[in-house]
Amino acid sequence: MTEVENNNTKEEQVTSPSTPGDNNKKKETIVRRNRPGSKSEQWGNWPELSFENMNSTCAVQQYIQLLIKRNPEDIKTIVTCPENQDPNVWQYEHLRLICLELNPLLIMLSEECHPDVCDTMKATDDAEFFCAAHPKAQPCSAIDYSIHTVDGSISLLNCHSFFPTRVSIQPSSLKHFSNISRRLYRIFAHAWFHHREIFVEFEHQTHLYARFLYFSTKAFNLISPKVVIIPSEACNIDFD
Amino acid sequence: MASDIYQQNSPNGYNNYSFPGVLHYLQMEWRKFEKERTEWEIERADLKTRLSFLEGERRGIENLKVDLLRRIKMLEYALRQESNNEEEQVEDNNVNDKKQENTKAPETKEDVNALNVKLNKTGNKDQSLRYQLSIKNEEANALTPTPMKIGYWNPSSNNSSSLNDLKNLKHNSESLSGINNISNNNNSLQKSIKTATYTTMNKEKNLKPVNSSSNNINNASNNNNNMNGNNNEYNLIVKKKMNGKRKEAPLSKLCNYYFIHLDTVRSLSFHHTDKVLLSGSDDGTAKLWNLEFLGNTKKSMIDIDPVYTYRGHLGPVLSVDISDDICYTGGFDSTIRSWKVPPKNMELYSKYDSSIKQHVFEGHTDAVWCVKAHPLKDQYHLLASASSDGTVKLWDTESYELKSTLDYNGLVSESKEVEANPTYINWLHTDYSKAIVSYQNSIVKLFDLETGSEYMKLPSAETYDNTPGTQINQVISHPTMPLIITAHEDCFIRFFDIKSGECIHSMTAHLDGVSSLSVHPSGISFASGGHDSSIRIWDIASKNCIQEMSSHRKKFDEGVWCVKYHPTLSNILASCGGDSTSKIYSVDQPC
Ligand SMILES: [Zn+2]
Ligand SMILES: [Zn+2]
Repeated sequence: MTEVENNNTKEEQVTSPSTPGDNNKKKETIVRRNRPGSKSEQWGNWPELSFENMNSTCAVQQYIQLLIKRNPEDIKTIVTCPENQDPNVWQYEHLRLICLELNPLLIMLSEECHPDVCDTMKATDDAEFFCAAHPKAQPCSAIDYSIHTVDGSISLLNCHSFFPTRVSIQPSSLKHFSNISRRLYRIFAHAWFHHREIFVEFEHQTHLYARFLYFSTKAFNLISPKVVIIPSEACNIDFD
Repeated sequence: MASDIYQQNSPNGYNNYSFPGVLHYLQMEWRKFEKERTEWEIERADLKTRLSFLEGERRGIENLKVDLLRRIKMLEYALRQESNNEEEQVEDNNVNDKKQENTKAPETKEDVNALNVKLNKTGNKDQSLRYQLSIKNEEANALTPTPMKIGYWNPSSNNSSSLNDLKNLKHNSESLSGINNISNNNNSLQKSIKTATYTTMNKEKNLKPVNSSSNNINNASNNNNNMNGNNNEYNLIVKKKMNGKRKEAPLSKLCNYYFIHLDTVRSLSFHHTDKVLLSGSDDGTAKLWNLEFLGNTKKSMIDIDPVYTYRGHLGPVLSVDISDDICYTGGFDSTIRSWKVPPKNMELYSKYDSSIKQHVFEGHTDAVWCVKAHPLKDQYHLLASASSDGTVKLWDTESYELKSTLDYNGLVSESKEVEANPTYINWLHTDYSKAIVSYQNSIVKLFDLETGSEYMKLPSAETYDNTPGTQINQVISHPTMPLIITAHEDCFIRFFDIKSGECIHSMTAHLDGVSSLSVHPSGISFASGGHDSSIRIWDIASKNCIQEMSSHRKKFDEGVWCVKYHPTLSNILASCGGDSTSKIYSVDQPC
């Protein structure tokens, strides 16, 4: 009999309105959530949370997105790894976000960069790049190269055997950062040399190339300066 | 007898005691006492044997208890080892966190330990209670189980197989139902065994979420509560099962199948017949996943790449829906896009095919929070969309024309002040000529598709306080019953009878806002997802929680955003949330 009674009290504890009610009182302060039906101007429109108070596994992503939202032109602040932050995780999350933010560029390119015009992946005429997303690297048209490279990079960054967790990075997987960066750079390069208007418009909106360049050459040594072929005028932000 | 002798002697006189008479009387008395003494002695001997018998029995049961506890410990240890391994793989981060968040991480560890201790305690208590009960039972029913039987359960005989037992428990859900079926069996020994099994199951469930969702643990302050809640819930579930009320619980198990986006995944949709899943994310893409491998592979962890990544929306994809071989996506950029499902034999990195993009439905002036294609495609060829511009729009999926625009009060002739934005649309499965729309003001309305007029308004705003903190996030209708279920931001789930239009049940279902609901294809249960990062499965008849899983991590205050059962293939459940992942749960698949 005692057991049955226990059972009931437990049930009450679980379903009694007091528990969530208390919860609400606590949460009434700020709920950082984009609720269905909310206006687009309300999107992410909540008070900033300090990095120390972000304690979920998505904290680094949250923090970088917050910095970008605060001022996308403040490249140095966005890219510089905070103290006490694992720089490898920092790079990992930055690369994820760069892949994410390349999405609009791919959409813009797909309107203009047709396989019959840009049948090979080139920046300048010096070199043709082979697409590494396939089991064996092969020549792909520029738009295919761009999409395959972004998809392949995302796939690699989400690959469980290389990056099993977002909170620490295996030393053996660090080499992928520079591989990914080198390939992503070529997408910017192709856009600059072949689709200048798209590049300029995209860069004006996002400052992603400036961030990517500072991230991969200045803040972290992911691509060698020799590879940088886009003239510095492409960056509308002077971070030197 | 004594009084007879006395009376025989008494007629002669008052003081007439004769010596032989007294002697005879005394002899009679002595014999009587002697007889009684032997009787007592026999009885005492009887009791003594009974006592020693019971004592033996008690010892036997105590042995059993020790053995079972040892086995539980072993299973627990094995489980912990396994989850540690998992943890090492998936989030060995905790160690790393510790370096960076000196304040949080130790609490986390303590929490886990405390929880484990608690689990042990409840386990033990449960055990001892059971034993007391079973002993009482035996006495009452004068059952005589021979302690010899216990040897059969001795771990010495199946010590080595205990790990395999665990595996069986994990991999073979049938064992559970099998155990359920003997619930009527009066044999206390089996009962005890069952308790033990349940306790381990209980722990397994408890341990899993603890280890696989470190954000829960990381949110140390809210978390204790949450975990205690879970614990209670589990006990509750287990007890309920013990009562034998639930025989076929649609238990789901966590599989290690992850489908990863780059940001919060907000919406999921299954193909009606195929094992194909569409997910929409804040990263601006919708991805199509092929789940054909389910049931065909025994690998526990495989990397799954999307079959196709739909790029076209600028900004987050808020809602997705598959109708036959067309995918519909609603975006933050106010557009709705339709896409072809690529051919099944398409290679992973194939040539860009511009014909995948089908159409862009333009007309909304704010974020499109929900798109839903009508299930009777041939009859209605209709697509409904709900936007934060305050309207619901109905589109023709063949001519791509806008058929009608409904605001809060029905068909719109001219634009008026918006009373409340729609949050979700669904179809009334018992009458496909009606659309169900939930609103930010916690009201649910049913509209007639032909006339665009309001057909019914549900009294669902019982706890509405004029803030979006009490809005309805989703509304679903039961596939066969005239039942509508609503998911409220203030933790409630409510049930409405369409015939009477009344609320028939209201319950607080999660520790935070309820974001999503999905009815099991059998119609006997449904799943709910909430921002407390948990997924709960409920029995529709009793409204009891059958199972809870906690497998997503929060991004800000966004936990689970969507839960979806496969509409025709039973036992495939998917969920997605703030941690950029979608996950698949299933019963009959090897995990
Ligand atoms: Zn091009
Ligand atoms: Zn390629």
